[in-house]
Amino acid sequence: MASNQLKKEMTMMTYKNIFRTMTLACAVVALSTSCKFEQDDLFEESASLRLTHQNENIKSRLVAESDASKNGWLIQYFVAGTDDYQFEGFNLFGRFYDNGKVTLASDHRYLRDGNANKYTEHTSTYDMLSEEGTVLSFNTWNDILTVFVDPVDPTKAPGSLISNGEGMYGDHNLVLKKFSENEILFYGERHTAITRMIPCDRPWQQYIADTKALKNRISSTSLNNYYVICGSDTMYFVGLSKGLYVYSERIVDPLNKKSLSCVFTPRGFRNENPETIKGVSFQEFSIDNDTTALYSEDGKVKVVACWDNYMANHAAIWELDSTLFTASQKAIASEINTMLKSFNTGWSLKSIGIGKSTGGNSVNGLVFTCYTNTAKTKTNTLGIESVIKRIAYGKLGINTAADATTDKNMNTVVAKVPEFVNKVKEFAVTLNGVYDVTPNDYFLPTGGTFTATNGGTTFKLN
Amino acid sequence: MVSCSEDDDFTESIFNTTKGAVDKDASTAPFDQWLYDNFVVPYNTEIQYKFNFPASSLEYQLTPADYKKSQLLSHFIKYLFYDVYNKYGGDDFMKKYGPRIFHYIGSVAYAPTTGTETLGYASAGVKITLINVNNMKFWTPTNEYTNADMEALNKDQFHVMHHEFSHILHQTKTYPVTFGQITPDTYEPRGWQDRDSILTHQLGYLTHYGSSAIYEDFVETLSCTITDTDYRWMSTIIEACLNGGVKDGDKEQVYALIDSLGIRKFDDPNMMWNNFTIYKESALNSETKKYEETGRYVPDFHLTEARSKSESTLKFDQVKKITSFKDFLDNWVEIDRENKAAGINAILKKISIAQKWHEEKWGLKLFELRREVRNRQDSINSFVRNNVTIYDYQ
Repeated sequence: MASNQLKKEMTMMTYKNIFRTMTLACAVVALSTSCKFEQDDLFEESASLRLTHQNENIKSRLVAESDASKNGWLIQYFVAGTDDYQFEGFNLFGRFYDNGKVTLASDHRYLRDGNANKYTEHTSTYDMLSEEGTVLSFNTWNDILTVFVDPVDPTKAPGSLISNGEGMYGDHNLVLKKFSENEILFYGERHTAITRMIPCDRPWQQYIADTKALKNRISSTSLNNYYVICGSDTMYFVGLSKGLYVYSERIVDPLNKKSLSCVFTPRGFRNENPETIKGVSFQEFSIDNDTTALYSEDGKVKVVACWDNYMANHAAIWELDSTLFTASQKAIASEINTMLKSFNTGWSLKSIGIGKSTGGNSVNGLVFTCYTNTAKTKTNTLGIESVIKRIAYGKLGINTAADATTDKNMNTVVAKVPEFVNKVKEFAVTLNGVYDVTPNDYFLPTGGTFTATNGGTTFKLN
Repeated sequence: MVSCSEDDDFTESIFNTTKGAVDKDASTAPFDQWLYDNFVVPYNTEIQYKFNFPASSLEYQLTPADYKKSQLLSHFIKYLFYDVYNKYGGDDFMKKYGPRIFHYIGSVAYAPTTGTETLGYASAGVKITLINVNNMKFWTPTNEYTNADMEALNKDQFHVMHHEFSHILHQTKTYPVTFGQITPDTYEPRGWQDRDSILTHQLGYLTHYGSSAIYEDFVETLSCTITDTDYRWMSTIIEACLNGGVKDGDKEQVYALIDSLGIRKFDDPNMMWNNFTIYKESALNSETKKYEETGRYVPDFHLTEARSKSESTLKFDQVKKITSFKDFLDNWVEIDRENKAAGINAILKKISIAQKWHEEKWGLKLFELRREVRNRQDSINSFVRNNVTIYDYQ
């Protein structure tokens, strides 16, 4: 440190000498040519004073927004991650006090002492340092933030050293990148961990609850794939629910894939860094009012869950709304019901649906759910395979082939009532066609309307 | 001649000149005042308990220290370190020779390439960096320190303090060249961490790290003498005598060392050194698939370590159960007639040189320091209870 200071002083002296020499030379020129020489001042203050004043300004802003009448700061924090581990973004909250105290809070999964995923607050100290620029330093241990810096295995912390002693490559010394009234950006002094601070628009626990609700609304382990659409171009997100997902050119065997981290917000999610699709930039997405999609800052890029693929491949059995059956369909269904009774007097048709049958040799396709006792307290399913295929966004095709496979339960009925299979196929064929599909939920549908556009019969799944 | 430049008007300073040495408004003011009164004023020493990034090592991934543990550690530094040296070195001793800066690091300092963990380091005779402060057990009235806690504190904190301070001392007045001539051929700067305790002690080193370089060996000799527990000392002595034998006169000196160290309950049959078993080590030959004797004896308390450090599969055959250290040293340990033995002979010589250097250069008596530190450690709970105030942020 001492040698660095010495080096700086010597450098300043050298500059001063050069300046003197240059000034003298200019004076000679000025005297001989009678020209006036003026040097424009680019800044009114010295660099050190400017830095000092900037630190004071930032501290004032941090403290002002931390007033008890306000909600403090939302801190969107991204660790750099290591070769072995990549991480999602984290929502932290902070209140900064003039006396150097800072209270941070979060409910992130790396909190220790049994606090993982529980709302926790911890107080420590901070300072504004003048180094190569303004540095916000969290300089004593804080349970909320410094766990990201600790060189222990994050999956086993505390206590166990990670094999390479790296931890998560978080930073607790943050170098100022951008400062405005409502947004302060930092990058980590050592690992360039990205930190964005904005005034929190609601109480912290409310923010956490609202964010969780939105996250659960738009992502789930069942439906976790998304289209990223910009005009006629489409890319894909896979795995959004973890906050760390893959951005690629296709879902299966992804091309040009990139791992992206994000933090969730009460309105959507924000990526660690801006990304582009065909030259159009996006970073933060917010859900639209009709909750069909998330839109980027300028609305040019939208994120839509791959609900159509999900509807084509889901396992749950969604029932066809029998009130919308055509007369022909009603008649076939009635005959199926009669045949079931001839198979077993206690049996009757409960519903016809689409999904995966539950018996042996189960199939995806059309599923006939039957009551198997007269009290109608027990059910069983009979399945016939149908191919349900995504044709384009929001457009599905259904086809049950003449030689479609049937499951074990269906075969048992057919063994006793051979004509049963033909009746089932007769019904299935009424659905063969291409449909425009409107889901009942664009992020996790449990049904929807299938409007026939080429063959088939319009129907509704509940 | 005309003036070419004008001096700046120093109308504004980048330094805050409105606050005193201790910022009374700071959230940490009470502790800062305590540090000022107990370290800055008497010793001109700064305790940097707040993480100082430019002054930290980029070799490691490091975290800030916990505020309350930093306070506790600062009290320990005063009680177990400064006050001890002042008592025996004179009131000015630490003013003259004490480090100017302590820097606390909360986390471990783990070196990925070597798999080693650094516990502290001293820089240019000026600064001591203490690492892993957050791993300290925090004292509370309902959770006081036990013997096991003290052993951990001794190993992770107190030993490190004395180790690093010894560096500062020898960076001020160098140690005798003869120290490095005792075991000149077996220092291993890169692979010291791969040695097990049996080999380390057999080669004449008190610790693995001591076998990395002469200057580390020297300060380990000092710091182990001051802070090592009876258990560690006796296990070291046993292993240093176990393989290779001892030279004439060493046995008498071992007893003298034990006496100087003040080993407690030396004759107690329940103590480890009066109740251990010696095994003969064999290693599996990967080609012949047969076990071959390595020629090494291993005590039961280090069988696990021997296995973990060996690249071969090891087998141990019991040789003798020891029920008395005296019986072990007097009757089992052989005199090396070929005069090749290093082990305890080297350790005894090193302690002797270190002890003499301490006394001649600094007016300190090594074993006196040990006794003082141990006595203070014995009363650590009452010390904390009666003398230490831990502040919250205000």
